[in-house]
Amino acid sequence: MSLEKKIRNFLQGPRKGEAYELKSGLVSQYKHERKDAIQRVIQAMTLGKDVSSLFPDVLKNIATYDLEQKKLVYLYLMNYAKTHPELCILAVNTFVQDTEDPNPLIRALAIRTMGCIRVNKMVDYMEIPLQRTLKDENPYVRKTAAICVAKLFDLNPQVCIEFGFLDDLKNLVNDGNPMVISNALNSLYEINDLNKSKDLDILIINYDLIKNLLLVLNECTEWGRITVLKCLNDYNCNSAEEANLIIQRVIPQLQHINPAIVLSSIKTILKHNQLLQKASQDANLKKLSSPLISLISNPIPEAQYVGLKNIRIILEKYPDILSKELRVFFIKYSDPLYLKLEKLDIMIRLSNENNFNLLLNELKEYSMEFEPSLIKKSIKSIGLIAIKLPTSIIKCINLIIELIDNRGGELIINESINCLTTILRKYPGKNDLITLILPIISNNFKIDEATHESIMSYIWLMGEYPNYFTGLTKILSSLWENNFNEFNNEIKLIWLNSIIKINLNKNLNNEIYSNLLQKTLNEITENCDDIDLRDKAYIYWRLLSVNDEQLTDKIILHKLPPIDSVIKNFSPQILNELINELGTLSTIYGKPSSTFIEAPSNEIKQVTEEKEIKDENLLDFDDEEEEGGTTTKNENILDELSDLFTNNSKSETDDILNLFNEMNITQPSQPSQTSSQSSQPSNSKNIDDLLDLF
Amino acid sequence: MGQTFSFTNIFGKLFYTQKEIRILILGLDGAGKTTILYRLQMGEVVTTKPTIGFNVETLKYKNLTLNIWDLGGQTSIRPYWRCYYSNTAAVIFVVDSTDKDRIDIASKELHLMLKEEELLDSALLVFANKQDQPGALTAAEVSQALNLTELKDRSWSIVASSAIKGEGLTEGLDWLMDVIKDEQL
Ligand SMILES: Nc1nc2c(ncn2[C@@H]2O[C@H](COP(=O)(O)OP(=O)(O)O)[C@@H](O)[C@H]2O)c(=O)[nH]1
Ligand SMILES: [Mg+2]
Repeated sequence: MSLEKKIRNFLQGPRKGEAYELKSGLVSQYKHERKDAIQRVIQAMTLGKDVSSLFPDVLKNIATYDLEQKKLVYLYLMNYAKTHPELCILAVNTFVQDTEDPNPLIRALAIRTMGCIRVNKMVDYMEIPLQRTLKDENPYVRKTAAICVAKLFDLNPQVCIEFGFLDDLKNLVNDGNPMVISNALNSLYEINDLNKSKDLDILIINYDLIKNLLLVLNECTEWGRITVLKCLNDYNCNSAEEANLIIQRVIPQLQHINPAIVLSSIKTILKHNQLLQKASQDANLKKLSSPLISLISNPIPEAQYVGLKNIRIILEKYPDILSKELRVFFIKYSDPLYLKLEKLDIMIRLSNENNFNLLLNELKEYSMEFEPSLIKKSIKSIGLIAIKLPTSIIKCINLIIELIDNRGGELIINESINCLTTILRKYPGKNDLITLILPIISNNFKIDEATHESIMSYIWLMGEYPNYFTGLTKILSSLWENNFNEFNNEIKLIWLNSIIKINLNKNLNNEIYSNLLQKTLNEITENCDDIDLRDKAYIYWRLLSVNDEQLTDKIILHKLPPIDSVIKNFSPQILNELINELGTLSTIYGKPSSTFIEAPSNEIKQVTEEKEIKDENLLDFDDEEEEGGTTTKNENILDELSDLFTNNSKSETDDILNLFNEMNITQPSQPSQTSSQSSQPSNSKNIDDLLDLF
Repeated sequence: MGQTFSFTNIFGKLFYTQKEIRILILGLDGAGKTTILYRLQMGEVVTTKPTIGFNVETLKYKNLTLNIWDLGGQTSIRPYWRCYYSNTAAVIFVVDSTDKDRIDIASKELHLMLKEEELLDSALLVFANKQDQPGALTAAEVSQALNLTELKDRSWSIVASSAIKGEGLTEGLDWLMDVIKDEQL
């Protein structure tokens, strides 16, 4: 469409209705009618109505001495510039004039609006106004112009660099005014993220800058402080003195009411703390505990949640930092469920020999609550404590028994079975535990009310400890007759393992077992749709027909090593990345930002004196990755894998994966002992099984 | 929605606001439009930059409130002139009388504009500007170059002017006021 035609189209506009009324108001010969119309247009705009068709007529009202009206027209312009890019040029004259206005408010408003009009044509006209406002005598105007540079860079990096705006912006980092400094920093960071060219120096952090930032930190606005803290965090100190100075200046920020500032401060302190002597490190860490607790005293539950997510990461790196603060995390009746679950997670991490009694009492109460996921997680947590703290084990088991006796019900029983089975995986073959646990399970397991997981636990236990079951033949025959066909492949796999183990058990000699084995092998090899499962049945079959007792014992009856802690942890590399991204979205996702946003092509540059020591370059993960060797890489791959599966829409797999993510207990027959592998889907699990066995 | 502001409306109508008469100043870039606008408004010669967009000023002239729009004359902006045509009482067309090379273009733009339906009733005042410069075409020569005599059914006039010296401007405006005041009030 030709320009002329376009313009004619705009001019036609509506002939009646509200839009028409507004349009005639906007071009009225009476001043007050025009203003009235503008107010109504803005009102409609804020209500979400599309009033973009009025663009040319609203624009006519931009050149006015009425500040209120000007603000409204600017507001409109920012909102709709994209709908009429070619008309924006008509506003240029006014913008340019306004950036020379005696009133700094108008100057700032003009440059701000100009920057927010993301229309390419505008770029050509920004030179003079932006140059002028970046050097304005008024700091309010300068700080506004500073942000504008990043917006221009986004539209057209070339122009931004050629006209020297980037250099002007760099100079503003040394401005006398804190707001200007923090905005300039912010803008430079933004440009750094936008930048695609490898050889452009954007933000150079040196000690002089740091010293200056430390001076202004206290005078900055809240957002400004966060930016300044980010920069302080990005700096790599050359000496313990530098680190100490930064830490001492940042410590007062820990008292700030804004949790984002508290988190940024904690992050900065944690980073530079590593350069200090052990004693000072510990002293500084102590100072972090009450700010951390302040995060969860926030009245807004969402803010508490963010606090908890960050605490969870910090705790993993510094487990002792809140060791005396368990009570703070006790669940409040009024907490939303997501807070309750998150708090449980933290409490488990804080559990130790001294406080587990207290914690178990709490868990008992939570298990009597009504939200199923809270009950489930509470029971799981009891198991986690038993595994983490061997001295607690009898107490934990007794608590579970108590729960079953006092409350019972499908949910509690199924979860308890899983939990007890996991405890046995940690302490395999301990007679006293087995005799304590197995009767509870066989007394309470009801196939009709069982979940997949509890069925798996149950069948696995029969294979592992057949002697402790009374009436095993009956139980097995009944399961075969009535339930086997409804089992999913995972349960069938465990059934296959267990039935073979029972047959190889020299104390159990019964035709029923060998019959069941034969039927199982027949059924799976003939009718099973899962290749891995079928293959596994074939292999067992072959193995049995070879009749080499030693070999079968070695492969099938091989005892698994006890499981380790089942509390989910990050790999060390990921943990370091997350620690460095405290207070950002990464902590909520539990993933480094590089996994969900594109990394800037440029690292923030730093000019350091010669004495820089490479090992202390804590920011540089690329280096670490190279040095870290295979383990880190492996974990990376696994992490990616589990990412893949988190997106898996098959709900069944999802559920199971979630279970594994929370706690690796639900698949007892899983012979592979590395907990990280359990997040693979069943198919590859089977392959793993085989590989491990051979 | 209109209710909210109706009080101001009545109040404004009664006491403050007068009906404004819309006047457009058009012409090629560099003709002196912006200089004329501010000379009329402030009585001073201002330093101008090319007008990317427009200026608008309100001024009282002989008890009338004039709303004078000075639109940029660059080739790139001329297509947007038409955005401003509606409700226009008069057009002041400014010609740089020393710019003989572009007077044909000026003529073409003038006639193109006058063909627009929205401007059929508008009066036309032409300033043959920059008369203070040596070699400037006279008003009669400009009139001829612009083919003004061809204009039918329109009140028009051409006045020799110098925005810098302030000559001819009030004379032209006086004529314009005479023509339009009957229609507007
Ligand atoms: N000598 C002379 N120069 C003028 C006159 N009017 C305007 N100018 C100059 O012509 C240039 C362009 O004027 P300007 O008002 O910006 O023209 P516009 O583009 O039509 O708005 C400026 O340098 C003015 O000083 C005039 O009457 N005489
Ligand atoms: Mg001009």
